[in-house]
Amino acid sequence: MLTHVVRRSFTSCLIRRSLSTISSQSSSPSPPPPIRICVVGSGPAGFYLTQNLLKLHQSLPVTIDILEKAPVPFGLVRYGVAPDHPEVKNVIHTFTKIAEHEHVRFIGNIHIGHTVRLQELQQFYHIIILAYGSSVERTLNIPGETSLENVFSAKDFVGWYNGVPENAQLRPKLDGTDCAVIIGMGNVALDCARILLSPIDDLAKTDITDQALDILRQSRIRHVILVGRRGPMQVSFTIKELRELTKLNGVQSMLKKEDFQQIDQNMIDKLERPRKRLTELMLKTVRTNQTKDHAERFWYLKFWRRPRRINGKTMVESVDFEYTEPVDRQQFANENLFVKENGTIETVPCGLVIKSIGYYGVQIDPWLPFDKERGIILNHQNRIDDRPGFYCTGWIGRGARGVIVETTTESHTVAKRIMDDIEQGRLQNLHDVKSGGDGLISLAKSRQVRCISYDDWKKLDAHETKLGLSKGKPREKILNIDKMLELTSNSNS
Amino acid sequence: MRRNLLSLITRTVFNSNFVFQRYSSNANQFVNVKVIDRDQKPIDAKAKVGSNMLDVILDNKIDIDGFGACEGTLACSTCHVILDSENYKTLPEPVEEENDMLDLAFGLTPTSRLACQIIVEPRMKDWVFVVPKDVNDQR
Repeated sequence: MLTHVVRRSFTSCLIRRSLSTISSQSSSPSPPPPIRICVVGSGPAGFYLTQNLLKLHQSLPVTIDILEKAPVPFGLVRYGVAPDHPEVKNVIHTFTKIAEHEHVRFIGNIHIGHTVRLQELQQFYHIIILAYGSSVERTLNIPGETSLENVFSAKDFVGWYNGVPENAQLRPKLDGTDCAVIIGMGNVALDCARILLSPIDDLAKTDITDQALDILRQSRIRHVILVGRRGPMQVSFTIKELRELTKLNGVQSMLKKEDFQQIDQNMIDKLERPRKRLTELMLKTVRTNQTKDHAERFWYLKFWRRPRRINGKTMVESVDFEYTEPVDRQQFANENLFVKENGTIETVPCGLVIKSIGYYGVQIDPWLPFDKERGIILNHQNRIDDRPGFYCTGWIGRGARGVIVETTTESHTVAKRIMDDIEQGRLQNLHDVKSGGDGLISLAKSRQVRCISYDDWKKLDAHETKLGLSKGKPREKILNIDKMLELTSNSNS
Repeated sequence: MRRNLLSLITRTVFNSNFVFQRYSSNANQFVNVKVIDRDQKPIDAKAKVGSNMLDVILDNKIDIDGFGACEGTLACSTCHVILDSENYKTLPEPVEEENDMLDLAFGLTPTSRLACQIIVEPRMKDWVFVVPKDVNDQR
């Protein structure tokens, strides 16, 4: 007679009883309607939160839909992680298990804020979590930045070699120059440097696009200069990525002793472990500068320079940098060092500029409380301000910094907060019957949008993998959205 | 008579070798260890000798979300565990790449290691491995 298993949790019993009292008219309690949860964004933030929320279903009926703007899942794991870092993409195995869970549904090709408004989601879902990341690059706002050719944001350059459809036509010109300047000293800047400097045969075995390989094969770039506004103690890249660059085949590190003169053992001993080991590796790299005899490519770090102007006729020819210095010399080793310009300009000739100075998020709907300065959703402990039932997680809630470990750790906390809100009765409408994904997909269809299911993605996945196999690559990404949609609907591979 | 004695001796030697080999190769040997999960719950686990502690946590189906994201390839720090200092000292030094990843781990301690790099040995009987709790709880 009881069609559901008796659960032990007292609080969930309370919730179930309150839910069924309202919905039932017969003498025996009917099972409560499932709580419909929607996660907007299918990158690591979305997937890890879903994994954590699935614990709910041990005591309550719950469905979780993961929505995605693109026709393909995984966000930056597919489009951001460098092609020569395949181990980082191992998370996809975990994500696949989550997506194929019986209470999870992946719904791709649906643009929230565009096809469907944010508020409309409330018709179909009780709880909505925004996890859509930070997709806009920061700009320098200097002359020449947008008018000259061969000046790219790292977001577009990375998108180009990683097969993002909107960057497929980027066509950087790498054969007209031997020098590239990368503005920024984070891990994305190092990724770009590595792709420009790596031996082409090594890249050819990765999932970098064929199109990028063809252009890289013609590349004449031999010198890559990373330029930072502050000093060696403020670099944002991390040790694994730096070590990788120092060990690259046929590539010589060219760090200048003078840049590191001020760093003594006393200063190093006071540092936290990650910064200490990173600084020690840079110092070691300076000392071993001259060891590689057969190096054909070189990379440099230029510190204390702020870009002022990009010069050229139609294509970039040089960048003007103004020298900076610490406001307070005693703060040399402080990660939050303030600098001031000192008026001296240096012109660095180059034929390619990549700006890698960070990202921020967008306000996908005017109804969403948003901090436009910082590019994040206004929230307190992941609860979106003044929007009960709405939460945020990942970069869009805390800013565009951090790797997988930050996201896995955060998602555990966010899930606990949501589960706590459910159990404490802070969410008012949980007794409503809502249609979840069925309703959403119907609405999208009525607006001429075909949503992609996880099984649809698997057809495209199989096609890309098969294409790649014939070339000795893990996959060959399809670059055209229409072609991707077509491949997700074919019944044969 | 001598042939029987010879075959007896030979058989004994072979059997001893077999016995000796069985104990020294640790084929399919398990040791009991304890894992403390993120909510500070202690969980008993059977650790297969020769496997690594990430495998152990997975094989024992211990539910720690996000643990071992990169599947033991030294590309993340999500399998971070904390040992007690006596046990920690007896482990072989981490390789450079493990230290690089540990640099990014939350709640790093002087006795932290990545589980995927700890190879189970019989002497690890009753060792305790603590999965650090969220440091984001303060936010």
